[in-house]
Amino acid sequence: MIVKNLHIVFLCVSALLTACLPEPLPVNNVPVLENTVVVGSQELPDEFIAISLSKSFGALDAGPDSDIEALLDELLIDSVEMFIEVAGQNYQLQNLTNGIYLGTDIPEIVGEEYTLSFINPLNKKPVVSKSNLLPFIGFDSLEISLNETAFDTLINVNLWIEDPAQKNWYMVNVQTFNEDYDIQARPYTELLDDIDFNGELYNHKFTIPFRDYEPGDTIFVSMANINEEYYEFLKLRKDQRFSLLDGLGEPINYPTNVENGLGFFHTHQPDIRFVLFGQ
Amino acid sequence: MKLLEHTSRALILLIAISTNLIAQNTLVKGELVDKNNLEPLPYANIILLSKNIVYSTDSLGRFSIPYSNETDSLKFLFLGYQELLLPISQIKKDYTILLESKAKTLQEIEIMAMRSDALQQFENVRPGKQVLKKEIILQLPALAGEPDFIKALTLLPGASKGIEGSSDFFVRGGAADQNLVLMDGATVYNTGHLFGFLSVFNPSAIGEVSMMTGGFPAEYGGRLSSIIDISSKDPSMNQTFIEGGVGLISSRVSIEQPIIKDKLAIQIAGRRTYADQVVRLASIDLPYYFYDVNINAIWNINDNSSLQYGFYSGDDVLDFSEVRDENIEGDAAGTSFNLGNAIHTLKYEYQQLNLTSETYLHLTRFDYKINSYFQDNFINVIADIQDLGLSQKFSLKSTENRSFNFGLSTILRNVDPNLINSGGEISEIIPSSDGTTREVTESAIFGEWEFKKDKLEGIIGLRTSAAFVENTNYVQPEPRIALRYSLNGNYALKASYTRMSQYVHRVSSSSFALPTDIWYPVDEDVAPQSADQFTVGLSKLVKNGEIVLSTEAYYKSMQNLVEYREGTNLVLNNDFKSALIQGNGEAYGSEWLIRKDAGKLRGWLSYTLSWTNRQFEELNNGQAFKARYDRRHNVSIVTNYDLAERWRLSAVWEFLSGARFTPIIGYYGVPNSAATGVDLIPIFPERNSVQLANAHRLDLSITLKGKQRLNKNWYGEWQFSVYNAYNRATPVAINIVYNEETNSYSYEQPGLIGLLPSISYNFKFYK
Repeated sequence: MIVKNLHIVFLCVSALLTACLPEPLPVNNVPVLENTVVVGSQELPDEFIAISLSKSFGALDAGPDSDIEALLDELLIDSVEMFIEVAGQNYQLQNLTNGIYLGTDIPEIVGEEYTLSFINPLNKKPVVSKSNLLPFIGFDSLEISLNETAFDTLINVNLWIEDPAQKNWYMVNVQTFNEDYDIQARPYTELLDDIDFNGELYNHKFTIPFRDYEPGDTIFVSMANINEEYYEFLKLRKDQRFSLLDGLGEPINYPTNVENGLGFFHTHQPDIRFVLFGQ
Repeated sequence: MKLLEHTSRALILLIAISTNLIAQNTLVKGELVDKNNLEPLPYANIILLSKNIVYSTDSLGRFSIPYSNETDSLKFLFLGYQELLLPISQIKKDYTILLESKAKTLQEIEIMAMRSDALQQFENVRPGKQVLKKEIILQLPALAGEPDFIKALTLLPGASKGIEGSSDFFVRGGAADQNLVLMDGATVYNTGHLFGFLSVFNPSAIGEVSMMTGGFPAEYGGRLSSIIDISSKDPSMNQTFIEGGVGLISSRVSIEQPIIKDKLAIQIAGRRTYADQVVRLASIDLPYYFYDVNINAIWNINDNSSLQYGFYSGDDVLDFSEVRDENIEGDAAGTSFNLGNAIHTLKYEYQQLNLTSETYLHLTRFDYKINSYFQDNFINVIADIQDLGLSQKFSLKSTENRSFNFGLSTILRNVDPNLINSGGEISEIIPSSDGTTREVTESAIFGEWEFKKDKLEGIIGLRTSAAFVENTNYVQPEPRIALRYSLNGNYALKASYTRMSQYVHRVSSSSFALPTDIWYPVDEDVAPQSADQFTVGLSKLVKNGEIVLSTEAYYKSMQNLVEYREGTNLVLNNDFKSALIQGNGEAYGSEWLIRKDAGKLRGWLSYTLSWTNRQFEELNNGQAFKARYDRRHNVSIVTNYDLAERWRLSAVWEFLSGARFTPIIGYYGVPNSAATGVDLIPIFPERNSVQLANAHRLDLSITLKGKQRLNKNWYGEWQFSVYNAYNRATPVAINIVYNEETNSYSYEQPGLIGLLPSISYNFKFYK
């Protein structure tokens, strides 16, 4: 009986305290984001380069309940005349659809500077971005295996890189695909600075934590030789992946190499592998 | 060489003078207390009859008076009390002097006693010094009925609160880690229980709290913005004395017991939350509690010397392992978290006539331990900081109007940022790490000369501090000067200049303090922080000292402030050293105070108008930005009103301009690094460019006092409090919320604590 009464008292006190939680106050002094263009880029086998063009959006335009794919469709920008200049030649990119621009006849010249340019349709100002084409460095060797623990099936990656003598930075991405694929699912990324293995054959092993492999999953592994600027950008993103303080932490101004815009124009050449284990 | 010769001669002369003076006289020591409730009577006047010289008791009612004639007598005078004349031989025998009240009630006694606080502040040469007595703090409405010394200080000019509930506070534009909190001379690194909601200081064990925000004495250093000096209560030398309080979430008790009457006494105090035990009776698990223990012992070795030992230990214990032994899938999971301070202090005081020697030895340690496991993953984290300190201070009163204070101090500081042991998949994210132990020796020599000439009083001093770390040494001169000019008996003009240096700083990755924040000392790359502060002020006594008005203006320039690069994840990260950056800051403003300590209506009104900015090359594109707690206006109204003989009403109303914040204002999407999807990246405005809503809150309490009778051994009072009486949110952040009706998102500012009633019972007993 005493226990029951204590339960009632505890519940009443809890209800009282909860009822007395103060009403949140409204906010009307947060600056409105001025939308700007966002550049993304990706090397494609045999096509050389694809550029995505979209625009930023306000924090109140979408949220966790929003359909992110539908939102992105609204943000993509088509019908822009976009050019890449390299070795004194100017190449116009072809606008496919959904904000994707493709350069199919642009020569790949290692060490050359590629300059992306177009007029920002939102404010009519020129947008310029530059990137040097780095030499292709792929896996010297790659082993993917499964690691059965008492609770999960984890993916082990064992790779070798033949690192050239100059300064290099690498990214290695691992992601699994299945029918439940989420467009916002971030790949597991390892970032390597060759400060400790410059000019050597380097072996790197790692396990993808907290991602349970299921039979039928396709494992995507890629690596690329990237520039320092993009390396630092990815490092920032990686450091924030488990942030418990989203919204309460200090602000981060993510780096960009796009003048009058956001995002990254890069020309690194990835080495991509797909692995599918038997059932 | 000449300088050395002169110094040697001066020292010889000094010792010779001291020895000569010592040979002539001895001291009579004691403490003056209220006969009725044994509370000490601070700043009472004591007259040495044969010479008609007036002395006074200190803030804790103690006195030490030189005399040459054993047959001489002392007269004790205190407002509201009957005069008492006693021969010195009797005082030496009794030690504790009981003064009888002329007033009829304890209430009137309290009113009279407290009056001298405001006068003391007016008479102090240094601007920026505030004193709060325990009695005043106990009268204020308190969160969950728990009196809080730190939060009470933030009601005074110059200090402002951080996030609601946090024990962090900000003084004259400084950061939270720029406040040196001392307990009997030892640094307290963590001042909050319950993740900062309550202070670690048990009110039953504490005697007095003072806060210095400018005009710092040369003996203090190591922080840029303030010195919070907390003194333990001296145990009663001649009677058993018990006091305590019973509240909704915790209870406290203190027992003072003389071991050898007037020679040796001890106080033991303890406090613990018991919500976990109460709800357990209802089969509900609440896996958290905190406790603290204080021990104070004083040994009056002889008329001239005493030894005092203090101990504090307090822990916060959070343990989910018993209540969450299974997750929904049946896998083992648990977390335990222990956070605690431990402090030992030893003080030896020797006094001969005009020379006082104080030797302090202290050991302070703050640590936290985290143990978590889930399935086959585990992570254990240990971090600690430990100081072993020794200081020696001399005070020599050469003439009635001149005195010298000088001494030296050294602290051996050992910092273990994070020792991490991890296993399972989590070790891929947080790998095991030994951390990097840092050792630094922080030393200082200091001296200051106090003088008084006609209406001008002054203190001129110099502190030279140094930090010795591996491969690097830092030496910083820190001049100090404070002047007071009495325009007439009721006006005082004050001014000061101080330089402060700081050799250790707290590394925090969030806008507010987290238990996992790390203290990190200077090293070969991170230079000491320093600040130059100028203060001018004017004080006025009104109605014969019943009311004190004061205003001060200050300007503070800060160099080598410590921040970290944008985006650095500092939680359980030992690789933070390369992320630390240094920059500058400035703060300026004015403070106003009206304080009334006598009459039926007592309290104060304080107002602070202030600005504070920061500038770091690596932050905000190198542009200056407002500090997180740049609060333009800060108003506190604190009142205690005696409704009737046994009823007292207390109210505290605070207004704080909103803190600064940097919310996410947008996003952009780019292909992720594998080009397999989209990475949404947040966009922020300029750093701290958005102001949270202004915060204001009313706290109320009403106290029913027990009947006051002379010679009654038990005294108790009930206090009924309401925190946040009109239930207004004090914003802590800006959130984005979804509105189903309009299918849209909007910003809102949530608060943490709403209207919270509480009841507590405080008591005193002596025998």
